[in-house]
Amino acid sequence: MKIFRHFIFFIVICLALIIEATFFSSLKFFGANLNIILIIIVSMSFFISSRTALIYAGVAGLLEDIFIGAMIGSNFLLLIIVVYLVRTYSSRVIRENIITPLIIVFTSSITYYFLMGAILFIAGKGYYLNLMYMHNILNGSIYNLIIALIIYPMCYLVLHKYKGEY
Amino acid sequence: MKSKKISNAKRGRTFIIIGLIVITIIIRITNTNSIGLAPVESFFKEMLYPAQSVTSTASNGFVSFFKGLVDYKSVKDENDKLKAEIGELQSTNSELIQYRVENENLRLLLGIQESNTDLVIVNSEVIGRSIKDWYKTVTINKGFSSGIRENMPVINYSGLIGKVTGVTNSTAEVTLLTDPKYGAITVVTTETGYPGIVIGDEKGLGGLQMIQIPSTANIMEGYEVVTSGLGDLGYKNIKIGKIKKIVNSSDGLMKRAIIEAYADFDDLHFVGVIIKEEIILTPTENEIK
Repeated sequence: MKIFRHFIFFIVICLALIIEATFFSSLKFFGANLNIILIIIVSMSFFISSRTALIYAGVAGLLEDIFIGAMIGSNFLLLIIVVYLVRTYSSRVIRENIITPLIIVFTSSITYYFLMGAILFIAGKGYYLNLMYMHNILNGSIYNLIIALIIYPMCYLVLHKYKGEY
Repeated sequence: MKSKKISNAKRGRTFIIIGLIVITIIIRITNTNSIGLAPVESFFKEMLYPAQSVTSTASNGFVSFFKGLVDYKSVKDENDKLKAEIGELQSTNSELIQYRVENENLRLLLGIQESNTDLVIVNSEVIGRSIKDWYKTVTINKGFSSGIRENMPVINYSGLIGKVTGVTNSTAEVTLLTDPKYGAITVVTTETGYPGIVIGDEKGLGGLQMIQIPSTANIMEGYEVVTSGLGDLGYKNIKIGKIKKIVNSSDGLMKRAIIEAYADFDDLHFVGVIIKEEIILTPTENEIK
């Protein structure tokens, strides 16, 4: 049964990547793209064990890296770091109240952008850290917050009943 | 008393006979093939018109109401059916509009192919875009099997849009001119043939700029910028855009030109990859491996 759930997770991430590259890439929010994988991973991490959350973050990050085909390992690393921080500092979050998880999605997005900026800089791709990138830290985080209003309740509905066994 | 009764009966019969004769005469007179109404008919109709009109309206409403009650189900079914048909027609209409846009794009691309017979252009459709803001790339639905290789220039009907930076058997990744990774393109202005290099906007806002132009260079706003054929690209006269604005540097020695690209990089649907003629369109098994 667990293998089936892992398989479903894998399919969800693949579908999310396809939707992100097709539908949402044409639906930008003031020039910013949606990071649907980050929203899914952060939303899921409230309802599954730390170990599973970290494994899922790693798998999703790796799939995203392979899909992008550049700087493989960057998203793998970043999603694991973000989920680790979320799990460490959000133990007192009331999952039924949507406000706090949404704030965590927003802060996770900002953290993701800053850490990705650092990785780009270290990797010698500092030319990507332009004005648009700086604008998108806020725009992208707001976009993630808005879409998290839909994704988080879906994760809650699907996963809260498995709490403790996942 | 008896004789009075007989007299009344006689009178009644006489009235009936006279009445029958009068009606017969009226029937005979009105039973003609002449067109139009007799004055009496006309007057009668005119007199009855208001009442007839009111009655007719009222009766129509009355009948419709009851008929509607009786036919409610069939009307509802018909309404649902019509709604479904409208939905289908709207969907078909949207598809037709999309096909028209696609057709127009492909026709324009075909036009480029026809006017440049020396080029071999592989037309393809954009099937995905970069999922990260900082990468300006698109994915197209033609790849190695269609003869596409890395570094081949990619155009649409407006002009140059980028180059191929990654190829799989059936897809290719195109890095747009606006991506800092693309590097510089060697260009010339059409009007004066002044050479220069074009790079993406350093702010990452999706624009282009021609840089390192001496302040004395003969370049003005509105000049068209095309590829020079030098450098990696190797193709001349592919349109890029027009000079929108010229900005002088603070020391006054150099200037740069802001270019308004012909292509809309956020709205790419069909593109053409210029492939070199010597490439075999059908790759061998070893090549695929």
